[in-house]
Amino acid sequence: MTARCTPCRIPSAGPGRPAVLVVRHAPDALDARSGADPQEAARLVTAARALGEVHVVRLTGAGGGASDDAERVGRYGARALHDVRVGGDAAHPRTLAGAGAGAGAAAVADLAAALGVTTVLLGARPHEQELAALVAHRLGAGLVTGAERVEPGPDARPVAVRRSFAGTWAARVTVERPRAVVTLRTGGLPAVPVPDAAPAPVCPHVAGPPAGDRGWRLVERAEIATGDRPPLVGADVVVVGGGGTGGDFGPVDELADALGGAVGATGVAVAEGWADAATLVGQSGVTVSPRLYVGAGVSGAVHHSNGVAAAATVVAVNPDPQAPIFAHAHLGIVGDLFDVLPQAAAALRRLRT
Amino acid sequence: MTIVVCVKQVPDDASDRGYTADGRVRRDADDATLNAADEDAVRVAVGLAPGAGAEVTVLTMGPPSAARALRRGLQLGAHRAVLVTDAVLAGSDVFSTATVLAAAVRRLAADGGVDLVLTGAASRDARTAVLPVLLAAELDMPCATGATEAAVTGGVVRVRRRAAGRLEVHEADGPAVVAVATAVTDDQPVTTAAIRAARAVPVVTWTVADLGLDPLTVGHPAARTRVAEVGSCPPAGRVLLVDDGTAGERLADYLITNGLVP
Repeated sequence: MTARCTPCRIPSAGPGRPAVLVVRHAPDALDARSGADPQEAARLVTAARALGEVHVVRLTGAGGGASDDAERVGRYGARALHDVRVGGDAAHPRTLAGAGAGAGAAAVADLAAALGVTTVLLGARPHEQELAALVAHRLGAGLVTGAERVEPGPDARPVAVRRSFAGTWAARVTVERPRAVVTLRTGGLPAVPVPDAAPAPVCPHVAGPPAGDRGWRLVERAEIATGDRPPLVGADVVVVGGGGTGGDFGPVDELADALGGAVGATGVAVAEGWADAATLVGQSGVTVSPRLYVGAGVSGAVHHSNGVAAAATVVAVNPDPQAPIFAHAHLGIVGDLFDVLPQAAAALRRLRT
Repeated sequence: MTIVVCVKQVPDDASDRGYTADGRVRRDADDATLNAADEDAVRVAVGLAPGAGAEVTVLTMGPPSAARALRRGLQLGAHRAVLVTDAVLAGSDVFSTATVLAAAVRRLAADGGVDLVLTGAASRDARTAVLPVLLAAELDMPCATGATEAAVTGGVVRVRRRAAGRLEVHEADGPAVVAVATAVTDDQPVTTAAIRAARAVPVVTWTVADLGLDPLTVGHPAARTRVAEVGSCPPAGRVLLVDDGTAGERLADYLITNGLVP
């Protein structure tokens, strides 16, 4: 009855408790970033604990991988750390999977099946969403992406809460298959250590052969020069400077570059001649629908707010706590953009090196 | 040969978006439009088709009204349009959608070969962006996401993409599924001549039976998840914090943990 991990013989869970698999996957180019973010692993394991006995799988490819250590995941209650080394395409940033689905997804699906887990939990970054989909595809599992939280359901399976349409609707999503794969937005979720924690035992695995010859071949790689920003229209990330910049867009540019985003400006900034009219965001300029909008020194006048209404996530930095933009912001920071933006950009850059 | 662009009709951002009583996304809104990211994919396809000696087919799955999204694709320069529409497809999840689109791509391939399958970066309503990898898995094709450029020469697909501050060029033996990054094309206005030309192209309609699919494997009954309960509510997770000297660090942490760092 009790499923066990094949190499290490660790039982997947105790009686009456389902097993839950937390997947940590950092493609080679992102390993340092993920490694520098131990809080995410702690939050995922904490969330998973509510659903059952937690196993963490750490996927590592040729170029490195997530650096969650056994002590850390043990502190948050993980029962075991499965160290899976995969070759080939699993090491690539984001998918670029070869024929089929990629060795990483196959390894995770095999482990999930071997442990008899009911839920596979991942973070919600793009490469994690893609891995989640491929794992669900292999397992025939239900998939919920970008959940805000997960709760135990009436049976061993979870219920996920997901927001859609710019957060104006919340849906409780149940899974119609024996297994669920859920990607979780961990921002705002707690990381709670367990008492009497011990380091999780580490179980090494070797994944099957990498995907065949029909995968991608890297033929060229170059560093992108700073300042080579994407155009505003259609950008995934937009950082907008307003009157609060006083004409110095340095911090705005810096954060945009750290995020690989575009730079925009408000009507005030354009009227003052601080920014090019082509960068005007709002009703009379460019309407944007990025995944992330950051307004710095932006008051949030209605003709500007209408232009950013479609942004999935709105962050605002303004010294005036009464600024109208805070009514639209998912994260509002009452502060000086000249302090906050460079500090955030530096933190993001640190994760890249 | 054919470049297939999978597109989606989505509710307009300005419209009153929401769910039906049984927890499906409302798709009946008469202001539904072609997903903006998919316009980029169509423009990329139209741009590279002459060099590749290929024609562009826009493909979608949806209610009959989704033909509007295809019409827009034709106005942007696509040559043919295929709509997979069937009452049994209502309530399809992303796995169903991938199954159906893959079957349609296989049929197009059987009709004369497919060089490349393009998609947009993500749909504006779901934003999960996992359709491309699932479609590739169904078709057993290599898949690349986030491509800023794509080309196909002599059966070899080449993509250029940004990854973690680097510019990379990859090649694979085609056909392949490539998701195009947003904003990689110029937003050229559509001419009246193009609108007239698009009107002359018929939208080919296929059903689930035409694709040889078992109706029980698609649509609402096959959906792997259910929306048990929905509620319209003010956006939660609103956080207002006063800078105590660490707000920049907390902002970076927020962006990372919410998956907002590309």
